[in-house]
Amino acid sequence: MRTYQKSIDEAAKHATQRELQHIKSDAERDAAKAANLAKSSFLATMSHELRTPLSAIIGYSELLQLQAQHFKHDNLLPDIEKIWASGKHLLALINDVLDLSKIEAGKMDLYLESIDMNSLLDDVVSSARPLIEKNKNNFVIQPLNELGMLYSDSTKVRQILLNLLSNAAKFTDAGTITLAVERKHAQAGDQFHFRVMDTGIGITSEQLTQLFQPFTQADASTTRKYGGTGLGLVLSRRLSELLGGTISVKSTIEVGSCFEFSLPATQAGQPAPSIEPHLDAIVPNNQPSLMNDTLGTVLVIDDDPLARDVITRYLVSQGLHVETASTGAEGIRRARELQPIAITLDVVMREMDGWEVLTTLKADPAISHIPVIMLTIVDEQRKGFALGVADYLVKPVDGMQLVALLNQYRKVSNAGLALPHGEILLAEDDPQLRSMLARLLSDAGWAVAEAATGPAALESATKHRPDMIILDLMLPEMDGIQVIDALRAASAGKDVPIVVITAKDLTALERNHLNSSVAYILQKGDYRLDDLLGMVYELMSGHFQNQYQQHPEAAHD
Amino acid sequence: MTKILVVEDDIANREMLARRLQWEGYQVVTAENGAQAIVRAIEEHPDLILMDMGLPVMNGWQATHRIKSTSVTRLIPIIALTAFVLSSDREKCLNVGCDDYETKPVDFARLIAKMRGLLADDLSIDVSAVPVA
Repeated sequence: MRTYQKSIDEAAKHATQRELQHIKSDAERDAAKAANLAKSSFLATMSHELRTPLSAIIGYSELLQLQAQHFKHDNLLPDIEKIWASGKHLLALINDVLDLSKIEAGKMDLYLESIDMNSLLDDVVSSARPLIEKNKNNFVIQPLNELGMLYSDSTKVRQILLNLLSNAAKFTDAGTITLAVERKHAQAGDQFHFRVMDTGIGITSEQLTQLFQPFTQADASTTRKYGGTGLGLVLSRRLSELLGGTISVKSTIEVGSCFEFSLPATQAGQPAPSIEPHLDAIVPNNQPSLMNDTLGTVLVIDDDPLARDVITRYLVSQGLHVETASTGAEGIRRARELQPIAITLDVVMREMDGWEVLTTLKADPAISHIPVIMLTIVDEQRKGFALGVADYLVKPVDGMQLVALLNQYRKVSNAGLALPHGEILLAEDDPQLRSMLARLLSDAGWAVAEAATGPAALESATKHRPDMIILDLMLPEMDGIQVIDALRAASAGKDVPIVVITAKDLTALERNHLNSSVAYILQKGDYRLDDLLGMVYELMSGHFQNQYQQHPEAAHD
Repeated sequence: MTKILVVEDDIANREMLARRLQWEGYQVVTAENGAQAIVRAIEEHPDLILMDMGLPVMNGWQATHRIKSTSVTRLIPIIALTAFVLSSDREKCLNVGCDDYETKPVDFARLIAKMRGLLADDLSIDVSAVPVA
């Protein structure tokens, strides 16, 4: 019996220990999670806090340069330029440090999209050219074939390539920097191979081993001579790993270096980009859709049934009403009939091509105002804009881009926006002040009921319950406090938010009394209209506040 | 003279932007928060608004949404200024009605080019399609 009891005790003790262990490890995990969160939010805040004054420094130094030139103080220019360059350098470092910490905290998000590789490279080349030519270097781009689409994070790919090119530029003087890109087909998926070759100072095999370690440049003296912290390469490697790629380097001292960056054309688990529009990948959209079906009909003119279907499905998923036409002639007829908010128009169609359709649309005053978005495989942007195209997308159509464009046209006709609306009762006896406030409020989109006396205010509020009340305390016949008390006693006016405006100094008693029953008290002549408007938005639009949740970092912006 | 409303809560950056725009020949009015921006937009009728997105009292997204849905101000072009560089942020700015988008710290030459584009367009896009409010 005793043994039995003992083993029960033992078991209980073990159980308790296990439980304790469990609780302890839970607590540790939570603490680690919290610490990690705190760290990344600290970093986000810090980087913002650092960037804000820095952007003023950079901005003012640019202004000073202009002023020095204008007022012929050219002797000051080199010094101002140094302030500017140091500011820019510091900014780049802050950005790199933030990026590295994000990667380390596992907080670096990828924004995957289909990217046209050739246009991405055009962009990179034009950004890198001034850096490279600064040191009297030749920039050679090996002939690029049609490279097709890449499914990846364009900002990060661009960042890696720019880092490699600017690194090459930094360590090469009056030499040549070459960029070569090719797409290699493989069973496991296509790969892009980028090579950045320079004829610079080169890296010894000893230095090579340290190259991708943070804050270790090839040689401490390089820091003095070339500047930088060596973060660029570390960051590039980490970013490339994040994208499923690799970076390697070969170098001969005094001859030059070659950095090779390989990147899979698609991301694991993601659809391979093809000529097929990749619309499915981004539906449903996690952004709140502001589209409203009572508002938007979009006319899709395309002779390819598959393309029509894909675009239609996407736009419908965004809450738009879509009508289609399979020929140009039908499209023009339907445009007249439907008066859509926008038209998407395929360029290459049998019978009447997109350009002809466009010319006809733009020549008819009844429909010439409807924005036309041209969808095309070939890049003929200039021709499109010359003929009056509102916008222009290259096939395969990026659904997000199309919706963003349509949003622009939709927003002009504002009925589609889900806005807070409501009625404000404005009780103020001074006619001039009343009409000024009423105009301000109605200009800001609210319905306004006006009252000039206490009883009038009370009557208006009981007859038709307003969504909020702005109340002057010194009203004739019945003062504001009496109005409030009467309202709060009545069931209808019990919880209407009230902002009180008062010209007199309130006694402590009055203030206490009001504090318990009104939302805000403003002193006449001492408040600003935008404070009042801010309060109105706050009180009127609880749901509105939630509609655009701030970006977590936005609070510090 | 072309009038620009600069909405920015940080005083150094607000004044810096104002000074630089004045140097370029623009008339500048300023606001420190979203609610003030709405009032200035109504009172001053600027030709264009530069709107910081992270603002106190009312943030830039809310203020933009409001300005773009208020009859007397909705045709004023707005360029969002934000420290965020993600495409989803861009999307969010466009969704509330911003006409364009610039990241902070501002590349002034690029900003001026965008401003000129929007000011030159002068809403020729689609004014006739606007239903009379």
